[in-house]
Order: sequence, then structure tokens, then C-alpha cells
Amino acid sequence: MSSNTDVLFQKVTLFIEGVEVPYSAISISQAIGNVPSASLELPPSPGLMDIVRYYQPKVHIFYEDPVLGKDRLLFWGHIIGNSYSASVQSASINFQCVHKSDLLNHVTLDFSGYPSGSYTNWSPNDSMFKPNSFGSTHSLVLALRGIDGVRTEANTENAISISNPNVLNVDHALLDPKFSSVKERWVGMPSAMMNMWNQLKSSAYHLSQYNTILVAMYIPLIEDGLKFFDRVSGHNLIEDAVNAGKQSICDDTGNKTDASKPVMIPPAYRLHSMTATQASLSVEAIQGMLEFTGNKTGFFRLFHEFFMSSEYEVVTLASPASVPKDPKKTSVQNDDDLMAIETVIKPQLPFYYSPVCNIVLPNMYSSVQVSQNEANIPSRVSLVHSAVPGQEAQVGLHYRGPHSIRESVLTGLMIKGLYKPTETPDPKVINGVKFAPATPAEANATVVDTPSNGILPSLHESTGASYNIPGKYELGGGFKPKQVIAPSWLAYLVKRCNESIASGTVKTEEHPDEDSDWGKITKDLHDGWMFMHGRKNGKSDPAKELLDPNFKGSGVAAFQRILFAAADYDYTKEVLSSKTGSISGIFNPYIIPGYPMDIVAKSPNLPSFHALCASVTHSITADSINTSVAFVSAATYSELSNYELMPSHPWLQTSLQLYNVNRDSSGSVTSVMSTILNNPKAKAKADEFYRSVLGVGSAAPSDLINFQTMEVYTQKRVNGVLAPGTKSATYSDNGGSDSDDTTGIGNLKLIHRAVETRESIEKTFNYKFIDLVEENYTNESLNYLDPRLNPDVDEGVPLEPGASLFLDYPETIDFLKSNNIQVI
Amino acid sequence: MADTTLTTNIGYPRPGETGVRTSLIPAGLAKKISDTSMADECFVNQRFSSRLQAFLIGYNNSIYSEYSVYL
Repeated sequence: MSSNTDVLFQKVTLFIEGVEVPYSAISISQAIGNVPSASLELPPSPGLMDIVRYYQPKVHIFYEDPVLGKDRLLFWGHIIGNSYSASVQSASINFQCVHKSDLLNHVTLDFSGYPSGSYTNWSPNDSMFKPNSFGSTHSLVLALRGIDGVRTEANTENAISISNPNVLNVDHALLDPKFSSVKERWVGMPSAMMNMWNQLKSSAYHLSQYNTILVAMYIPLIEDGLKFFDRVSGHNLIEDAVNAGKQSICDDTGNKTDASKPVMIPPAYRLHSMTATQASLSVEAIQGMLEFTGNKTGFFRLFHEFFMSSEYEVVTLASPASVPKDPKKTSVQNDDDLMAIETVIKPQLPFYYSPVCNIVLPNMYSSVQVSQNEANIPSRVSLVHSAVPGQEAQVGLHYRGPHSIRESVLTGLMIKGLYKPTETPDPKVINGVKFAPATPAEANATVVDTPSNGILPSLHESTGASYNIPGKYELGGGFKPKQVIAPSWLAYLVKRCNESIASGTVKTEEHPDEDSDWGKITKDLHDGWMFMHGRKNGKSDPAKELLDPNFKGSGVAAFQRILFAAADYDYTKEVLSSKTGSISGIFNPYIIPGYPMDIVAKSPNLPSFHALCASVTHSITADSINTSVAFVSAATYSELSNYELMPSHPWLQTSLQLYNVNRDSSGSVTSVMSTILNNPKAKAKADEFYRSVLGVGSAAPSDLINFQTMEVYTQKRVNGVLAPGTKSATYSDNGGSDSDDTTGIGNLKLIHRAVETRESIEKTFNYKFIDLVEENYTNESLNYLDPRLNPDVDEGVPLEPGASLFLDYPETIDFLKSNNIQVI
Repeated sequence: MADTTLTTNIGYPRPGETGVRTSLIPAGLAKKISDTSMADECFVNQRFSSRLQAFLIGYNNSIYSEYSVYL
């Protein structure tokens, strides 16, 4: 269909149970937090609605790739419902479909207490499986060990199988040999999911005769039928670091235990110091979160909850990425070395660089609308969390953002006379100027102005009352406070740190050693902070360094640095949440919800946007096809260049090399790059971050638009990333343009990514799809007299409830025997 | 497909003509359709059901036949 005129015909084919069928309309939807779904509209026929009864027919939708050619996957799922509608003008049957990964939620887990009866009725809630220890601290510690290696076939004592009598005590950190071809993908946090799965399996196989449904049906379905675990990946740039940073867990007394079995620390829990305390915190926080998943939950939902509690998320791609199995490779010689990535487990990064496939170039959309609701944007935030009883005040009332609010609170302390310069020695002495709390009498009697040298009390004191002092920028925009629900893990972190400090069992260091890696990073963060914020009336003001959480003299503990940074990051999220919008444009199978996106304007007179892609819908009819995209947290490119907007969680800034401080020969800071604009080191990391999972690099707004003129840069594509091209308006004899910048198809060429092919699916799943083509539907035909469809030939015996018209059923006892289930 | 009957037919019958509901399998597709419609194969191993495939092939024939309201 490739055309340089943008007069396109897009082939899209629909297969039900491997048979191509005609359709009048298809709609495919993908949204953050959900598996993809589809709606199919077919010509009606008697009996067509019955195909859904007691069965879930498989649905594959393919599109012919406009750039790379070949039929590629647009949706894979199964039918879960239907409807019929008819009027004078039309009639149709509509099928509702959901992605195949939704079958994982059939595996329901019951966490409630054991009944007093026997094993045979140990699941009073009718869930599929009752784990004997899943969700406990021990199982979480095990899960955070992730995967240490691949089990060899000879290592039968660690085999998770029915035939292993010691199956309950196997090493869950070993990958089953059947997944060895994708072993590089099972590192870091995604491998915690595999470890959990291994735990669940060994627990089920231990008493296989009581877990028949899971053992004989769902484990094979998930592992072999759906090949779910062959099609999962994390972003290796981060996950390799997480894997390398495993720590021994602390016991209750703060001592490290079991050094041979260290656990992963999710990036969200990494403090500015590396101690085993973090591992203990991680486990406690995740366990705390999982306690809120309820007594009964689906397995896929449990994964979601687990990763959400670690500031991760699970993204299901309707069009899986086709990439090398080895994440370090960018190309392969043999297609057998490719894999399809359908499920991505990724850290939440809503404001990071967009992957190239999520760039919407000017010729790709026909309409855009963006709205901004400024009324609800707070002028200040304070962290609060209600999930931990008794901790609301600790988290909710003290940690404020942005920085200007913390400064105003400290100013308030001075104005109210609660602190005063003094010569009396006091632990709160800072930077050679001694402060002491004023006595109540002094506070009431004296209004002490800000000291002439401008030095304020320790930043730690900003976590007290606000004293009703306006922030500097509230003077122009008004006072709009907002309590923000902090991530649950922050509440647990504060709770644990405070308890540990109070009991003296765990020492929370205040500042990393200057010679350590974290010490150097912290110095960069501090110098960068001073370069950007250490000013008063436009001039450098060294005294403001006390307001930087990364400054040694600020008097804040390591965990408090995270809290201050989290408050600032939350403020960025609040600000960006004001702009939402949508676009509609040409069919675009490449864009993925859950990742950032850029919408590039054609003219310098129009705004361009950086946003988070929230949902994607492909609408296909007999005479039209388009893709509409909804986005949230949008920022105009002018906002990006004018404001300091934190592009990532503070805890990922370092791993992603987002914070770069340039210095002159004397060590003085000359520039600070902390955003996604003009930050080459961060951009290079982002390319690496995306390439191993999506097969494309990243795109920086400053590489798409010339921020001096706001004109679109001419682009060319090199190794999956966009690079400056040469403007060349070449026109063909047919009136089309061969310049990728000037046509929709050209734009798609620039941003395309490789999607799993139909050939690959046929080979991997041993499928034969039956096309709706003339050579298949020859005039010579065979009558298929199906007794189930023909009561005359089936002796008039009706089907029992539960039986599909289209399946043959083995006797249950035969099925169990064929699966080596011990029949009691 | 063990319990089905295949008979050669030239041309398309009118729906309902034979008094029984049949599915038409073009001769060229007889070897392409799945070799099972066992429930566990089709659900656990995610194989295609030959019965359902046969029905859908018949559906296609019906939709594209000269008797279809869509022509």
C-alpha cells in the first residue's frame, strides 16, 4: 500500500478461530491500566451468535504494514460477548473481545483463612487456588530475589513438576529451561513475577491432586497455550542495574541475613545511600500494599498490584514489538532470534522522553484538541496518605512542594519569632550562624526579622506548621493548597524509618560519604540546585543552600530527601495534569498507550505538545480507517523550555542520567541539564532504554522542533532514531512527494516500529490461518454435515448445559489421566 | 472431524434447500482446517476448533452466496 501521494488503501483482515471473515466495522481500544479490547461488527447469520456460547473463539486482526510490509498483528484476543441489532436499513452482529492475557485473571487466588475442613474444600470462596504462603513476607522476599539463573535439565531436584516429590522446596529463583531462549529478559523487577509464578506452581504441584484445575488446565494454558512468559520484557537498561544492586535483607534487628540470597530493591525504594535497610523497607512496603488487594484476586491483577506498589506498571501491547531476543543486540541475522514483546513491565515514567514510535508528526493527524483547566492547579502540595493508620500527620502535613513553599515556611518561622540568631550553642546551629528556638515569651513579644545575611533555619524545620505565609509565586497566582495522595510505599517508608530511628535499631544516615558514588551524585544535585535556585533578586545567594535537601547542612535524613523530591515531583504531576487532549489522524499501528508522546505542529504558529499517551483507538470500516489518541499531562513545547519540569521520578534521575552538571576547569557550574531538552547524555540513555523493548530509540522535543524558530526540523531515520535530515522537496510524476517530511506515509516511515508478523505467529503457535480468498473458496465444495448443528443426524439428543456446539469433550477422568494427575 | 460427514457437492445449494443445516467446506480447505475440536486442545493449548472453523467457512459461503442479502 506504500504510496507517496497519501492516497492509501490499508488492508486489515479479521480472523475468528483462524478463519478470515467479512466485517463491516472494527474498533480496537488500548488504554493505560487495561488489556486491549476490540469490538467487531459482522454481517448477521443464524447461529453466528451461538459461537460464543460456552466457548471463547479466538480473534486475530492483522494489518498490512505500510512501511515494512507483511501482515502484522493489530489485536489478539477472544470473544466474550455479543449483541444483535437490526433495523429497516441494516442488521449486524457485534462481538466484544478482550485481549488473550485476560485469561490470566481466570486464575483466582484466595488469600482468606483456611477453612477447618479438609483440603478438598479449602476454597470456600470458589477461587481456583489457595496459596499456602503466597503474599507472606517470606514469599515476597523470595519474589524479590527474582531469577538467578536457568535450571539445567539435569537439575531435576529443582524441577517444578508433578514428578518431583520435593517440589515444595525447589529454588524458585531458577528459570525453567523452556524459557531459556528469552533468559536475558528475565532480569530485574520483571523476574520477581517469574519467581512468584514459580512459587505458585510449586505450591500447586505439591498437592497437585487438590489443584487439578490450575495444574492441568491453567498452568499449561498460560505457559504453553498463550506463551505468556515467552512474550514479556522489562527495560533492561534499568533492570540490569536493579539486578546488579541486590542487597541482603535485614532482619528485625537491622542485621543483614542470608547474604547468599540477596533481593532486588525497586528503584522507587532506593535512597541516596545503599544499605540493606532498603531491602527490608521494600519488602514491608510491598507487603503492605498487597494486603489491600483483598481476599480474592486474579493472578494478572495481582501482578498489576505488585508492580504498582513498586511504582512500576504493566503495559499490554495490542501490536507486540518484534525485537531481538538478546536485548543488547539491535539486529539479527535470523528471524529465529527475534521475539515478540507483548507485555512490558516498566517503571512509571509519564514525563520522560517519548519513544520514536509515539511521535505524531504533522502529516499524521487531521485534528487535535487540547484543553487546560488551570482552576484546579494547586499553588502548593503536601503529601498525605491514609493507608497507614496514624501516619497521616507524618506524611501528610509536613513534606511540601515546590521549593518556594518550603522557603516561605522557613521565612515564616523567622517572622513569627520562633527562631532567632543566638550565641547559645544549640544542635540546630547551621553554617556558623547559631540559631536557637525562641522561648514562648520571646516568640510572643518579639518579631524577629529575617537575619541580614539571609540565612534561614534548617530545611528540616520546614516540615512543621506553615504559619500561613504565602509562597513567593502565590503572590501572583493566589493560594490553592492541595493534599496529594502519596504513593503508599512512601508512607511505609516514613513509618519504618521513624520507628527505626526512635528505637535505635537502624541508623538512617544523614548524608552519604562525599567520596562515595552517591556522595558525588549528591554533590552534583546540590551544585545544580544552587545554580538554578540559589538566587535572590536575580543574584547568587549562597545562603540558600540550606534549602536544598541534598545539601549536607540542610539537616535532613536520607529518607527525607526522597520525600522532598517526591513532593516536588508530585507538584510537577499536578501542574501537568491540567492539560488533556486528543488527536485523530491516519491509521497508526505503532503508537503505544502508557508511554510519553509528542504531537508536532506543522507550523511555527501552532503549539506542539509533549504528553502521556492515555489511550489509542483504531476505527476501521469498509470505507475508512483512522486512529484516535487521547493524551493526558500535556505540556506545550514553550512550557518545556520555560519551566523546570521534573521528567522522571527523582529516584530514576541518576539511572537514566537525566541530571547533568557541566563545570568549568575550576569546578564551577556552567550549566545544568535536568530536563528532556538539549540534554544529550540523557537522550542517549533514553535511546538505550527504549531500543531493547520497542526496537526504536527516543525523540527529544528539541530534536523535533527548532526552539529558536519553532519550525519543524527535517528528519531522517537512522538506526531507529530520528536525526536531522536535509530538506528536499522532491515531487514525483504522479504529484506525490518522496520526502518523508511531507506525506503521512513518509511520517509513518520515520516513526515506525517492527511489529510481530503473522508468519511468526503461524510458526510459533503452529497456526494455519484460512484467508478469505478466491483460491480457498473454490466452487467444488464438501458438505460438512455436523451432527451438532443438525438434529436430524444427531438422534435428537440435546446438548447439556455447558457444552459448546463446536467442541468435542473428553471424559474428565480421561483428561486427568492424560495429564498425569493422580486420581484419588 | 471424525464424527462429521463429508460429501462432494458442486455449486452452492440454496440455504435450507436440503432441509438440514450444513456447512460447506471448499475442497481446497479440507486439509487446512484444524485437526481437532477437542475442548482441552482448543482451550488449554489454544488450538483452533475444526467444528467452529467449518461453521465459519460455511458462514462465509452464506454471506458471499448469491442468496446473501449483502450482494
